[in-house]
Amino acid sequence: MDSSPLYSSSFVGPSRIKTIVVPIGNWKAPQFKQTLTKLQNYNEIRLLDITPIDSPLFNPQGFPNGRLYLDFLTSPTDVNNPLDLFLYDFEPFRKSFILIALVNDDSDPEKNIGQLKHKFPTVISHNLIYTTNDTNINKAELSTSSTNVFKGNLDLNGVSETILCDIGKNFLSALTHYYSSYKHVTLRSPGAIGGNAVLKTTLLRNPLSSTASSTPGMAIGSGNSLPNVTSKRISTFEMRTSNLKRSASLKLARSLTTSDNKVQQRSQGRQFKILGNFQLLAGRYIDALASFTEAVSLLHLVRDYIWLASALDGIGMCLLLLSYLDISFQLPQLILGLCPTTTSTTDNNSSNPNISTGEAVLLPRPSMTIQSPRNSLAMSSNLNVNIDNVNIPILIQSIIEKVLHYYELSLNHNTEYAPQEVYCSFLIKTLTYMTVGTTDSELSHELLKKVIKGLNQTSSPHNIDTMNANRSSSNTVEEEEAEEEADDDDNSDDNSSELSVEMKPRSPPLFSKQDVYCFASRLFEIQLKEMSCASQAQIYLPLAEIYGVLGFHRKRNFVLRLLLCILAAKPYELAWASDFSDLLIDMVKFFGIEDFQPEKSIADASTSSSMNFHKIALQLCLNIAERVNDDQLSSKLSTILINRYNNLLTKVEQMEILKKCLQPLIINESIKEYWDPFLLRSLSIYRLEFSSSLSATSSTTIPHKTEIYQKLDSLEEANEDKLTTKNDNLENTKRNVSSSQKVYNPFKRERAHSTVTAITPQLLDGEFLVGDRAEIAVSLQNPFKFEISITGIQVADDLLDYCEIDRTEISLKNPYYISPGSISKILLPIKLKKKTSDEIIIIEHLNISVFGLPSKLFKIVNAEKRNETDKSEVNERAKCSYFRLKILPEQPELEILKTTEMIDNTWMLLDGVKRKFHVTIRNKSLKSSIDYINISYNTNIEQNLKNDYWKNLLPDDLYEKEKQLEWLKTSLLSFKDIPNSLQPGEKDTVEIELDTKNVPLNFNEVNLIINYGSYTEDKKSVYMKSLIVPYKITVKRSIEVSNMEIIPINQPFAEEMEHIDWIGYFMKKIREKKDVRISDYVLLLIDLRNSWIDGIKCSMTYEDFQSDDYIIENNHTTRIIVPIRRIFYQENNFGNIAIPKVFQGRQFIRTFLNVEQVVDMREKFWCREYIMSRLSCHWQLSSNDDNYGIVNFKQFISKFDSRMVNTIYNGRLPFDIKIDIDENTVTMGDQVQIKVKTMPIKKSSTHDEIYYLNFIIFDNHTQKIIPRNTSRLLYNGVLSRTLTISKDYEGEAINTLLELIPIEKGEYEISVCISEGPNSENLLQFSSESVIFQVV
Amino acid sequence: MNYFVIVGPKDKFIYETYLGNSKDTVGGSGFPPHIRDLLPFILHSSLDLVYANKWGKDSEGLDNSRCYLGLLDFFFGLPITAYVTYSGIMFLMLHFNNQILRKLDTGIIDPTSNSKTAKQLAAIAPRVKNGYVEVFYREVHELYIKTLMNPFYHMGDPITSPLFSRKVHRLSKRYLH
Repeated sequence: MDSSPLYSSSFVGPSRIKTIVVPIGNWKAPQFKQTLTKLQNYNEIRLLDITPIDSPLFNPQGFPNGRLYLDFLTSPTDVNNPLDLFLYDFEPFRKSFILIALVNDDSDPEKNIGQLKHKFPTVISHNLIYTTNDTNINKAELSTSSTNVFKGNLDLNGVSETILCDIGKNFLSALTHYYSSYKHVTLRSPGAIGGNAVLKTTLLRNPLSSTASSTPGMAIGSGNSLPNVTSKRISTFEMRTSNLKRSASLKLARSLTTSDNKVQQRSQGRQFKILGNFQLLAGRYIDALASFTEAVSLLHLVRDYIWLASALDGIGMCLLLLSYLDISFQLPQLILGLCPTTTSTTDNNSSNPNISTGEAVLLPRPSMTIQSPRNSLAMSSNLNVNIDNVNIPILIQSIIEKVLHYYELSLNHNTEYAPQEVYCSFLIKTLTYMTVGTTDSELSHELLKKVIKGLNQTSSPHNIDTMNANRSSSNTVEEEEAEEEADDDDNSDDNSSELSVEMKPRSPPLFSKQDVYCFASRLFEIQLKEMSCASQAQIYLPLAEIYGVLGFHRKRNFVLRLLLCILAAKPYELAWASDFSDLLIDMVKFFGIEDFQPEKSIADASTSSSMNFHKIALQLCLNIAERVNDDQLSSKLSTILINRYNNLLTKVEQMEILKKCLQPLIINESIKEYWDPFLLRSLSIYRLEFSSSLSATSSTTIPHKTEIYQKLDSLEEANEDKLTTKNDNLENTKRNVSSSQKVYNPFKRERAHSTVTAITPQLLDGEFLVGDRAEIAVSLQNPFKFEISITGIQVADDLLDYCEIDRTEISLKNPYYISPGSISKILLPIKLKKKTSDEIIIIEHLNISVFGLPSKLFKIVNAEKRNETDKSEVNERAKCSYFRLKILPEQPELEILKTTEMIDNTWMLLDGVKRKFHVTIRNKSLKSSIDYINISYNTNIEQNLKNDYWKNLLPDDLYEKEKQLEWLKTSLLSFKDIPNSLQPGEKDTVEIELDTKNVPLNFNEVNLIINYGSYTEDKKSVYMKSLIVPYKITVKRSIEVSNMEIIPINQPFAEEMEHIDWIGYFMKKIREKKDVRISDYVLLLIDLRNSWIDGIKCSMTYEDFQSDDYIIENNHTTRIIVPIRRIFYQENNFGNIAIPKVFQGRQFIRTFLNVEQVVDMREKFWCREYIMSRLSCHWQLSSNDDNYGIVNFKQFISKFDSRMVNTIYNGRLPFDIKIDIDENTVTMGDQVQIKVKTMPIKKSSTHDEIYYLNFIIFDNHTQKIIPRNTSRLLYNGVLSRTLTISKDYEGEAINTLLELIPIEKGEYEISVCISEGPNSENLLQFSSESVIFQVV
Repeated sequence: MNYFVIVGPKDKFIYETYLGNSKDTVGGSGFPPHIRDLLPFILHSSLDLVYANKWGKDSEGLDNSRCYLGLLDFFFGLPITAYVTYSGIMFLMLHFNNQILRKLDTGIIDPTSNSKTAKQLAAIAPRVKNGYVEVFYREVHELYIKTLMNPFYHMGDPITSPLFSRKVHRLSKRYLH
C-alpha cells in the first residue's frame, strides 16, 4: 500500500478522484515508482484543458475554472477494507474511479483492457499508457482500438499532462454514465445497507453533551477555540434552526403532509447530496455547492441527519475550493441560517484579501439543469449572500461543528447512524484543516493551498496557478518553506518553533495548537479498536502526522505505537512499504534507545538502563519488523534489545527472542556478527607439563621432572626474564657477569647458585618452544538467559603463522555451550608453530564465532571502566588486557636413561660411607644438539634453610653450621666424566660419588641439576634448560657416639696391665722419654654405640695412638679409652685465637658477650677443634669387609663442657702447679721431700700479689684429709705457705719445699691448693696433680 | 491506584511507582499486563503538553511560576496531572480509582477494547481533587530536593532509595486516597 494518500489527507479529500495505477509488462519497482512520480506531478487537471464532452452535468466547459484532483494509489482501497463497499452509496468518493495501467512492453492493448476490466470491475474508467518508445504497436492500431489507450514518453514536457487531460475526459464521460445509474436508485444509509457490519460510532461521552467537559486539560486554549465557540453557539443555533424548521414545516405543511412525501423528500435530498459529491469530483464546484445546498434544504426538513451532515460537509469543501480558486460566488442564506456566523463588515474584507472583487461574479447554478421539483423553498437571489461579506473561517468552523452535531444526533437512530469510519475520517480531515490553520491568522491563499493539497503534499512545479497567468515556479520556494518537516524528531524543548513559518506575531493564528490538540482528543473518545485494522491505520497515521506538525513528537510516537500494537496483534500478513521501516527507526531513535549506548559510553552505562518502556517499545518494533520480514531492521532491533535490555528481559522473553528472531536471522545471514562485544573476558596460555617426557621415560627412573627455560644472552640481560650468559668459557663468563656487569641492588637477593636474573614480569606472560604442547585458556561470558554456542575460536589472522588453536576441538558441528548467565573457561590445545626469536608477540584479541556467525575479533576485556579519568583509553568502555608470549626455537631434550645402584631414585646408605653410582643421560631430541652441560646439585638442607639462618647464632655454632654447609656444597657429590656436548640421540654416562661422612642428621634428599642447552643462531648465547633429578637418600646410623668424657690420670699403671692398648701406649711413652709425666695425659672416654643391625668392627686413632679393633654387637655400646696429651697454654693459647668465619663480610653482628665469655667460648671451641681434628674412628662391618666408613664425631659432640676443657687445657687456671716427690716408698721415720713448682699463668698487673699455698695430706686408703695437728706425720714448718708474685714477675717457677717424716705406716697422698687467704680461705685453685707415697 | 513517575532530563524516567493502598502496588500487579505496559507510554506522550504548557509559545501570559500544572491531559477519560520543579524535573501521575481498578481486575473494563464498558469507564473516572494532589506534589518535590542534596546522587540518576519510595507512598496514602 502506498503511503502517499494517507499522508496527503486533506479537508477537501472527497474532491479527489482515487486513481489506481498498476504496472503491466516488465517493470522494476524503482522504475515504476519513478514513472508514477512523473504522473503525480500532474495530479491537478484544469477543466479548461479537457476536451468538452456531451454531458450536461459534468461537461468541463460548464465550469472551466474547476479542477480534477487525482489521488494516485497503487492498490485499491477496498482490498484493505471491504466494509468500504457499504459506504460507496453514501460517500462515493471513497470508490476508486480511474485505473491507469502503465505498460512497458508491446502487449495487446485490447487484451490488456479486457484483463483490467476483469480484474477491476468496479473501476469506471480503465486507461492504458504505453511508455515504451520502441513499441511495435502501430499508431493506427492505437488510435482505432480505444480512446483509453495512450502512448508517449512521459519524460517529455507536456506529454504526461496531455495524457492525463485525456484520461480526465474519459473519466468525466464514464462518470456521466455512472451517475445515470444512481438517478433512479433509492439511496440508503450505510447502516441500513450493511446492518451490524457497519460499525456505529461509539463515543465515550454522552453524544451531544458539552464538548468542554470532554476536552481535557486545555482550558488555557485561546478564545478562538473551536470547541468553546460551539458550546456557546449551539443554543442560539438550535433556537434559530428550530425557528427555521417551524417556518419550513409551515410552508411544507400544505404540500407534504404525508409520510410518503417525507420519504420522497429524503430521497431527493440524498440524490442532491450524492450529485453534489460527483460534481465535486468532476470539478464543478459551483454546481456542487448548489446541489449540496439543495440537499441541505431538503434533508434538514426531514431530519435525515447523517445525509444532512455529509451535505454540509460538502458545502464546507465547496467554500474552501472556491475560495482557493478565488471565485466570487453567492452563499445561500439557508446555510448561514443553519450555521450562524457574524456577517463580515467591509472592514473584514481584509481577511480575504486575495479574493478579487473585480472578477466576474458567477451566478449560482448557472448550468443547473435539474430543477428542484419543489419551488417553494427554491433559493431566490435575494436569499443569497455575497461571499465577500462572510467570514469564511468562522463559517467553516460553524459548518464543522454542525456536521459533528448532526453526526452525533444520528447516533440515536438504529439504522440511519453515522458509521464510525465516516465520523472518524471527518474528524481527521477537520484536524488537518485546523493544523494548517495554526500556521496563519487568516485564510490566505497560501493557507488555502495547504488545505487543498493536504498536509504533506509537496506542490509540484507543474501546478497550475489560476491567479497568476504566468506559470512560473517562483512560489515553490515559499511552498517548500511552508512545508512542515513532520519526520523531524529533534526533541527540542520548544517544538512550536517548527510552526513559526509565516507566523504573524501580532495576530493569533486561526487555531492554537491547544485547540487542535483538544479536537484531536475527540478521537480518543471513540472506540477505535473495534474498527478494521486498515481503518485504524487511516486514522492513526494522519493523526500521528498532525501531532508531528504540531510539534507534539511524543504524542506522535505514542499514536504510532498504538498503531503498531494494532498491527502486531493482527494475525494476517501486513502490507508494508519500505518507508514504514523509517517510522520504526524514528521511533527507536526518538525514545533515545539508539543514543543509549552502554557498551561504548561510560556515562550511559552509569545511568539507569531500567527504562522499562524502552524495552516494551523495542519489543513492539521488533515484532512489527519481524512480521514484515524486514530482516535488516529486525536484526538491528533484536540485537539492541538483547544486548542493552538484557537485565530487563525475563528468561521466557529472551528464549523467545532467540528462537523467533535471532536464530532465523542468523540463518539467513541478516545478523552478521555477535552482539556482545565483551564476550572474551580473559586469556592465558599454559604449557602442558610432563607431557611427552612422561610417556617417553619410564616412570621408574624419573618420577618427577621439571623444566625451566632460560635464555642465556649477555646482551639482553636487562630485558629478559631469566638470563644466563655464556661465551666460550661458560663458567668464567657466568662469574664475570654476576660480578662485573651487574649494578648492585641492595634489595635483590642472590640465590645460592643462580645465574644472573632480572625478573621483569610486566614484559612477558609466557615463553614457549616451537612444538610445545600448550593449552590456551579462554574465559567467555554469557550474560544472557539462554545458552550460547561457541562455534569457533582462533587467534587473529596475523598470528596464525606463529600459533594456531586446534580447529577440531570447537567447530560448527561440535560447538561449546556456555550455560546462561555464566562465565566459562575453555581449555583448548594450541599449536606453537614458528619461533618469534627475540620478539614478543601480543595476543590482544581472538577470532570467535558464536552461533555459527562469521568470526569476529573480540578484545580481551578484563574489567569494566567506571570513570573516565584514564585519559589513555578515552572512549574505551572496558579495560582490555593482552597476553605477551615468546616462542623460542625447538630445544634439545635431555633424558635420564638409567641410574645405577638406586631403585626409584631412592638409596639407603650407612652413615659415614662413600658410594659411587652412574647416571646415563641421552639427548632425546632428533634435531637439536646439546652444546653445553653443567651438573650441579642441592640438598634438602639448603632448601629448608632460612635466609637469615645466621642471625642469632653464636660464632662457634655458626662456624659449625656453615662448615657443614660448605662441605655439603663441595663434597657431598663429586662428578666424573661429564660430557661437553651431546649430539642428537647420543648418550653418555656420568660417574657420581656420594659421601655421607659429614651429612647432617636431617639430610634426606639431593637434587641433581643438569643445566644444558643449545647455542642460539649467532652462537653467542645459549638457551638453557634444566633437568632436575631428585634423589631420596636415607642415611642409616652405623656407629653413634653416645657419650664422651675426659678424665685426668694421676698414678702410673701396673706393668701387668700393659696389654691394654692405651696403658701400653702410656708405658711406651714413659719409657721413651724420661720427662714425660703421667699427668701430662688425660683419658678420653668415648662410648660408641652400634645402631646398625650387624656387628661392627671399629678402631680409634688419635695422633700416634692406634687403638685395638673393637667389635661392637648390634645395639651394644662399648667404651673406648683414648689417651690424649694435655693441651698446654704455652703451645696453644686458645683464648687469643678468634673463632674463624666461613663467610666473610657479614656486618653488624652483635653477640652480646663479654670478654670472659668470648674467651671461654674460644677455649671450648678450639679445644673441641683440637681434639676432633686429631681423632678419627674407622669402622667396618664385621660381616662385609667392603662396607666401611668413618665416624663423624662432630655431629655427636656439639660442644665441650667446662669440665672437659679444664681437664684437658691448663690455660684456664691461674697457676700451673707441679708436685714432685723424691721417693715414692719410704720407710717409717725417713724424710721425704715434696717439691711444688708454682707458675702463675696470667701476669699480675700493677702490684705484688700474695697468695697462700696450702698442702693437703690425705690418707690414700680412706680418702680422708689428715688434720694439720696429726700424729701420723711430722712436717717442718706450716702447711700454708705464702706465695708472693711480684709485679715484675718474669715467668720463672716459684719452688716450695715441704719436708715430711712419716711416723706411721700407710699410704699418703699430698695435694696442694692455692688460696687468697691462709687456711684455705677463698680457694683459688686446687691442684689437679697429687703425689702418693707409701710408708713401710 | 495511581501511576506516578518522575521524569528527569532527556525524558528519562528516574522514578516510577504505583501508588495505592493495597499489595497490588508492588510492580503494578494490580493492572492487567497490557495496561501496565501502556502506562509509561501514556505519561511519556503527555510530556509534550508539559513542555507546551510550561515553555511553549502558547503558554505565554500564563503564570509560569506555578509548578503545579493541574489537570494536564486525559487518556480514555483517565486524568493526568503534572508538576514541574524549578530545575525542570517533571512529576506526572495517571489517576485511577478503586472502582476502575476493580473492574480492570475482573476484566469487566478494558479501556482499550470494549466499547460498551468504555462508557462506564468514563462515567466512573476519578475526579482529581486539585488541592490534595498539589500538596502531594509539593511534598514529593521536597523529598526530591532532599534526595538531590545527597552528595552521592547526581541529577538525572534513577532514584533507588527505598526510603524515598516509602515516603512517597506514605504521602500518597495521606493525600490521594
